[in-house]
Amino acid sequence: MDRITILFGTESGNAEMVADDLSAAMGQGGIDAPVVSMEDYSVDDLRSQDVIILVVSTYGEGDLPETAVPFFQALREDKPDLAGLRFAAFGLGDSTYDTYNLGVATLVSALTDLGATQIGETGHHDADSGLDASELAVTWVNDVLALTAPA
Amino acid sequence: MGSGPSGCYIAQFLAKAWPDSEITVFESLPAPYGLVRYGVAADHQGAKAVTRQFDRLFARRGVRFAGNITIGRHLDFAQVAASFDIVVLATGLPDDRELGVPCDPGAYVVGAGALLRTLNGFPSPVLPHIAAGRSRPIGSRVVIVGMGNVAVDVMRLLSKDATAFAGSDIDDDRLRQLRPTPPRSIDTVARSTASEAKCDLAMLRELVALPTVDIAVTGLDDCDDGPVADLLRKSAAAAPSHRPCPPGVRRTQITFHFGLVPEALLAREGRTVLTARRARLDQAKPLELAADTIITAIGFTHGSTLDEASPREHWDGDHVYRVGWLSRGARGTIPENRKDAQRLARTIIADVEAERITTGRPGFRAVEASILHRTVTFDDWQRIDAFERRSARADRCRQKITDLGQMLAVAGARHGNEH
Repeated sequence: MDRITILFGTESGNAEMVADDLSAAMGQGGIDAPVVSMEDYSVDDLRSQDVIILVVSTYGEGDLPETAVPFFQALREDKPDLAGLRFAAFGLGDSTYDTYNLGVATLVSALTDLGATQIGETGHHDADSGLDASELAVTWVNDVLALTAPA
Repeated sequence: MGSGPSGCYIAQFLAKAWPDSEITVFESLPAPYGLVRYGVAADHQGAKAVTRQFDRLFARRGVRFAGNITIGRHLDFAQVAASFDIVVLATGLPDDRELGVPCDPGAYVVGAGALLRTLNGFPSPVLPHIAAGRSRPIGSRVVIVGMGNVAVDVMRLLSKDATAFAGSDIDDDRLRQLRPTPPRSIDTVARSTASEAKCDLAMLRELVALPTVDIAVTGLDDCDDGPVADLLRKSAAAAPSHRPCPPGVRRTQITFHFGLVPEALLAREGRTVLTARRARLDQAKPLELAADTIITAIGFTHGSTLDEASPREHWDGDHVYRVGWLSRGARGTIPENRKDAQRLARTIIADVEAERITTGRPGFRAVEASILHRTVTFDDWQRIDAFERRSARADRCRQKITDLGQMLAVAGARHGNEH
C-alpha cells in the first residue's frame, strides 16, 4: 500500500486540517497520501483506487458539508460498481447537537451500498470533547492501516 | 487586518496557495481570533475548536501574528497600504445594532454582542457597571429582541443552571455578577413569524432541551409551519414539570412572541417597558412587556466613527480588499465566512496572476521598527494561552485574562509598562 488518496468534505476547514495531518503522518510511514477536496474529485476515479480514506464533517440538520454534496449525489446517480474499493472513514461532529456525526454515516452507507468494503470502524471526533481531532485521527488511521497490511 | 475567523481564513487560503508568501495578521488585542474567542458562546467549545486550524496557520513559516497593534492608531493605514502588496480588511462589525425606536433615557438596554463579550471575558468593560469592576445584574425579568442564533445564545446562557457550564471558558465572576440566579422569565420578541425565524434549528433544539426551561409561545398561528414552529408548538405543549429539575434550581419561563413589532422603550418604576404591536392585528393599544433588562439581538454594525481604528471609506486601493462581516454584513456562521474568504482568495490570486496589482513592496520589515516595542507575537500569545489554560478551575477549559496589562505582562517582559 504505497498510495492512498484522502478525500475530505468540510465546512469550517477542520476536516481539511485533519486530512492534511493524516497525509503528513502517513507520509512519515512511507505512504503517498494526496489530499483532495470532494468537490474536486470525480467518482469515476474511485474505480481505479484500491483504498481511499474519507474525512467528512456534519453540517446543518445532519447534512453533509456543501462541498461533499455533489460527490454524494454523483455516487447516488452514477451508481459506479465499487466492489474493488476498500475505504476507511473518519467523521467530525459536535455532540452538542443531536445530529452528531450523521454526515459520515451517510457517506459510509452510500459507498457500502455500491459494493465498497469498509476497513475497520468509522472514526469519530467530537468537537465538544476538547480532544485534538488530528491526534485522534492519526491514532485511528494507524489502527486502520494495520488492518490493510498483508498478513 | 483583524485576526477573527475571516482574517484567519483568508490568511490560510493565501498561505496554502502561495506557500512562499509572507503574511502578517494584525490584531488590536494581544489575543488572536476575535469573534471565535469573544463572540462564540463560552459553552460552544466545539465551534471554538476552529482555532486549532489557526494555531497551525501561525506555526507556518512566513505567517506572522502582530497583536496589540491597531491600524489607525499605532500604524497609519497609508503606511500599511504602502508597505504590503495585498491588504485585506477583516475587522468585522463590532457594535450591536440599535433597535431604532424611541427610548427613554432611563431605559436599561444592552446589546447581545456586548453581553456575550462580557461573559467571554473581553478585556475591557463593555456593559454598564454599578460599582467599580462590577456589572449591573440583568434582573429576574428579561426581554430579548431578535430571533437569530445570537438571541438563542443569550437565552441559553442566561437560563442555564450554573452547574451546566462544565468544560466551558465562561467568565464565572461576570456570570455571577450579571446573573446571580437565572431570570424567572425571558420574553423573546420577534418581528417575524415562526416560519421566518432566522435561528438554526439545532440551536433551538439545544435550548428547549435544557432541564431548567419552560417554553411558551404567542403569535403562532395554525398557518405557521416549518421546523421552528413545529418544535416550539411541541415544547410549549409539554407540561412544565415533565423534566426532572434538581431541587433548589431556578427555572426560567421562556416565552417566544412572534409577529410582534417593537414601538418604544419606556422607563417606568425602575423597570424598562417595551411596547410592541402585533403585525397581524390592528390593535388600538400596544402590548407592554416590563423587564429589568432589555437585550437587543438584532444584528451588528460598524464601530463608532469617533474610533480611529474603525475602517474608513478611504481605506481603499487596487490592492485593498474587504472580507467577512465587514464586506457582507453580519450574516452567516463561521463556515459561511470561510466560503467568503475562499472566494476572495480566488479573486486576489486572479488579480495577481493578471497583474492587476503590482507586487514587490517590502512587507512587515518596512513597519517593524515603529511597532516592535509593542507587538505581541504568536509565541507571546502562546504564553497567554498556556497561562489561561493553567489558571482554569477543574471544570473549565480556560480562564481568560480580562486585564490588558496582565495580558501583556504574561505575554512577555518587554511589553511591561508600555500601557
